[in-house]
Amino acid sequence: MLGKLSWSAIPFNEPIPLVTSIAVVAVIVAVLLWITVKGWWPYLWAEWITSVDHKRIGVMYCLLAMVMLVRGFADAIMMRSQQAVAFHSGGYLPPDHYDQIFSAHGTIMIFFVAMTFVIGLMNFVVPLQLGIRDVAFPTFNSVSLWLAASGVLLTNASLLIGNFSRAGWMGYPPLSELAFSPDVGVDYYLWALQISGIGTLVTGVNFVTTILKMRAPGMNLMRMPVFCWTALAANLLIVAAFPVLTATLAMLLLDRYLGFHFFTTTMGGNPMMYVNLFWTWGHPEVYILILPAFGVFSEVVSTFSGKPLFGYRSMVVATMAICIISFTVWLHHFFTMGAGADVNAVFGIMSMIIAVPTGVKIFNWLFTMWGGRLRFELPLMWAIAFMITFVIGGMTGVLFAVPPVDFILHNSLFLIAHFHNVIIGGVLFGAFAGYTYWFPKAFGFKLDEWWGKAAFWFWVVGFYVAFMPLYVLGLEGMTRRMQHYDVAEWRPWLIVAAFGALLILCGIGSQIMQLAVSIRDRIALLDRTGDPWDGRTLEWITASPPDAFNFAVLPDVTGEEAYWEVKQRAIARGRARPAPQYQAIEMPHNSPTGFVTALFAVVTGFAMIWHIWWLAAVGIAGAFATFVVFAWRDQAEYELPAEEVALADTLRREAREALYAGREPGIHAVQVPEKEEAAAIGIRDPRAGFPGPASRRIITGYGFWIFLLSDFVMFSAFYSAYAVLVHATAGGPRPVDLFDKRTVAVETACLLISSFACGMASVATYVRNMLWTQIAYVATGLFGLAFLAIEVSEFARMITQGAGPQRSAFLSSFFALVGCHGLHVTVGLLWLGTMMAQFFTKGFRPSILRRGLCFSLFWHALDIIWIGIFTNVYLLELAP
Amino acid sequence: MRRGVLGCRLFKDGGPAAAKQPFFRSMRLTAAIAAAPLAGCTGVLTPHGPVGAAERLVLFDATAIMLAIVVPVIVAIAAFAFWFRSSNRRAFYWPHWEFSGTLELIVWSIPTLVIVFLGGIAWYGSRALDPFLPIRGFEANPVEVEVVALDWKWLFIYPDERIASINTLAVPIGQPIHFRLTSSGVMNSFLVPELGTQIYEMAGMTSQLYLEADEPGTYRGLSANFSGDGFSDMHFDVRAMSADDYAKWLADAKASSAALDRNAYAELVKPSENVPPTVYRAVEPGLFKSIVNGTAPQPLNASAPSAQDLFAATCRGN
Repeated sequence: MLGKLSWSAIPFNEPIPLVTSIAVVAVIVAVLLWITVKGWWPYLWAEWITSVDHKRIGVMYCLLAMVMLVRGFADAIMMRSQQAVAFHSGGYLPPDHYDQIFSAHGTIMIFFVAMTFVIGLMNFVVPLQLGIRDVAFPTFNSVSLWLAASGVLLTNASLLIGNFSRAGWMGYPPLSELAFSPDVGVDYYLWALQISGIGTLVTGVNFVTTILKMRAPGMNLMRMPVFCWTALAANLLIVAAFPVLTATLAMLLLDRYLGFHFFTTTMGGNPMMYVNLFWTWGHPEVYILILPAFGVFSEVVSTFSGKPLFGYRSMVVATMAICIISFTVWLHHFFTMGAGADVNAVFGIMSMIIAVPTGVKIFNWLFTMWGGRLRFELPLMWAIAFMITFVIGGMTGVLFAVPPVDFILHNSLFLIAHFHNVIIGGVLFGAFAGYTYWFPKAFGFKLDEWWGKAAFWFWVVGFYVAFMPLYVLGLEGMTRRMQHYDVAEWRPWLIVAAFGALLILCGIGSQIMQLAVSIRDRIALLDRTGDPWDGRTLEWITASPPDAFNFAVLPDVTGEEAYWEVKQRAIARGRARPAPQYQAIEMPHNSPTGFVTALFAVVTGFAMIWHIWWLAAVGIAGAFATFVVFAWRDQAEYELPAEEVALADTLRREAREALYAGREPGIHAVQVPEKEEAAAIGIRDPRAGFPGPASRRIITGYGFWIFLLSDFVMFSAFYSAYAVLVHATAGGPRPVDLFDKRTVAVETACLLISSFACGMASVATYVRNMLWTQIAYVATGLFGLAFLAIEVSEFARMITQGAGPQRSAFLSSFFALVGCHGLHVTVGLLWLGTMMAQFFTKGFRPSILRRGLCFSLFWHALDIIWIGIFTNVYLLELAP
Repeated sequence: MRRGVLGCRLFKDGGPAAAKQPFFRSMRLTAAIAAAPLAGCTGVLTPHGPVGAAERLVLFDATAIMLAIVVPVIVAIAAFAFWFRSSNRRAFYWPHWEFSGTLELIVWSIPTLVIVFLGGIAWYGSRALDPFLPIRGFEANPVEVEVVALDWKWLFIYPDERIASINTLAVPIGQPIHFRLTSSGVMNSFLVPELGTQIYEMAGMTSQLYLEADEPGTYRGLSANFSGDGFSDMHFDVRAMSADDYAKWLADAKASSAALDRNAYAELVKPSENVPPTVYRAVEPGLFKSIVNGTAPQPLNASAPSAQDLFAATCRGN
């Protein structure tokens, strides 16, 4: 009934996790009780939990990241203190606990702090900077958030129920395989990452579509703020890289749950393939994190220097160059695996090449400061600390790109120092800069400066004290993940590092104080105008906090610094432009879809971890049902009347009067050059030519294409596993012995006919003929079912012949690849069924027509993928 | 007289030609300053063999090249930030300055040139220090050692001498050692920081590594890839000794009592922590090969592999 779950899962004999988790549970219960007593639930439910507003979602992401930062840091300070005391002794953390701590620290910091923080900032800022009202798919955005929260919940549940992975945050097999890690730890790791990974992928699709298809009128790509460019690059990387992680972790799950042999040490499994696939995702991942941070610094340095960003086009080119090159360097994570001198050298040089665009960025920030008038507010302080710190971290990174240096320092504490140098000094400082910079925009008041400066100095000094000794320790030959040691030379440095961690603790404490003090003094810190920093980009034209609809009228963009120009002209005139004609605005309804789906995802993940199969089935069915209900709703949007819009915007305009009249201290008039005045009269550069957000149909179709692109990448990962393992037959049947080409040809024909029928259905919907639409969809479904039936019978035949997926690595990869396609077809059929019902009951509504478009794209894409599989797997056979 | 590993006059180990050039002298000075806090410590900066020495040189060179650009950049960041502070009325203010083609060219050129320079070092260094190939200039007559990473100890087999040891690696100085390495299960990484290059050990596969010690002494060896709960104790001593001492060590080993046959290996392969150094007077021939192809006993009471397993493992092994 409860699978592997029993009372022994609770760590009664381990005081540290037990007491901690009881304390955490007590705090959570207390908070929930407090909310209940105060009667805040209706507000929280209506305004936050079910909110699909990108600003609210962004704030919740950042909050989640900050809470997880505390959790991840608790792990960090335990590790540092353990290593400070564990000289010639076992310290206070036994290995099985210590190993969980460093695995959880890495997983949490990468996925739930760094990732979550940058996604939160992108959520809050990107639509505002683009001058639009929301992201492309607001409800899916809420799904993303809550799936990330599900991953967080599962990871932290492992503290009390069972245990977390002890195989490191990379989860390298064979250590993470069932043979060497039989407990639930690795399963917690895998399911938490799979569930939050789906959320991340949806974010990627959402933001690529938003940025490419939904900018304000006149904002062509080369007028986008650099933060939006970096967000675009990061989300393109998410779309292209996360499916690889999903596929890789899925393979490990298949190994652990169904006895497949992708990465085992027997039956032809190949652990090296995991390492390759993992870093194919893993290296782009570090740029997913750092590029948005670069974007934050670009905004901050430019704003607080009172100048446009130097070399905007260079910055764009550098960003996109990093985006592409980041896919060609993964091998530098394992130069010591014996790939050979030439391969190592090529990947080493490719890795160094990334330093060129990165170096250009540093120089461009430097020249942005040149000739500026620098205001040392907190965001700029973080930016300067970042520039200095990151240059050091970048240097040690390039050292690792030299294979002979990597040979002696790989996996040492020098490596740990390096990547903390770039991730703390880059991503985290960027997140903090962004947090301080955009906080007044989100909440309407600034953060307290004194505590902010305290946090800054504790963090920066603490970082150097904690991590510079690690460089030394690496040079002294200390390797990572040591629970104890007996080398006297290491000890002093480890004690210094532990002291550094204490300083960082003070930094985090100061940040908490800063938040508390700022909330207390919010009246004094109020941002009245909506432009507290003399900003340059469109988010500062809105009120602080912005209205739900962001912009009463979409701004007309005439240059790179859309808001700066508007503001300067207004200051020159001494007043704002006359009020525009307001119109009613369509706003998306709130939706509990995200929250409910995530609940079911948690149930599913938890049930899978503990092998409670019936509960997992309930969870999956529940998540599916939630989506059907979501798809079934009649009203996706409500209309905000023009009077309300006008009222809200009038308040905003009044608040800016002081600013435009020159009465706001610190906001200076700057002579606007002649050419920009020309644009100001309202003649938009015809070459700019961007007409504003695309139609809903285009946006939906485009977004779905982006999703399909990521699906193709996932299939590529499964296919490359197949190509690697096809010869690993372990003495079992080879492709030539196994495949029945005639049956598969019939199978293929079924799918092709099904696709054709789907095309007919599209034609029938185009002419709005319900009968033929339904008939064509029925044909689509029947031929799809026939395809599935043949596939299942083929699988059954192979398994009864003793050629199941457990037989060899080749068969594992075959079943996974073809089975993954079969799973897609199954999902497609379920989708088709619900969609037919929608057409039948609701007729040809635009929203259902859009779904029909997406379904046909999906169905044809499955055809294309199948033709690839049919050709490469069945026809070519690739057999020896 | 030893030749430099990189086989190049420029990189000759302690060679006079390099030291006489002022540029290289200043590079060494920089490196020495950078290394000052490490004085008296052992590790990759105190190599005792040609591979480690060459790698340290590459490390110093690459660091020096980058410091030449990194230090001025850091100074410039601090200086620009200080001079252009808003309270400094002597500083000029160019509120519209956002582009300069000349500067852009310079900005792209500087990192590119540095990378061209470093890329050369990476290319050359990677080929000169390929762990699978004999050390250039030290090709003669290597000592063969087979290394098996077990949970959680190191097994060293001397196939030519038919002896083996646990957690102690005795090597003669001045003679290259050719390691062939594998693992009984999980992945490990064989590293002796004072000798140089590390390499992964993976089940079913053989890695290779050439190292040499050129001074007698005891050097610390360890696993650099986390392998489970007993990982922290998975270190060993490398005892580099003169040829005479080495011969004596071999003789002592052959006179010891234990032998490593299949049954002893079956005991040994089971996970154990903090294992004291041991020597075996005899080793079953072909033990290493059978570990690589999976026919030897497995850790964790895994069932004995079938013929098909063997086939699979042989397919993967090299």
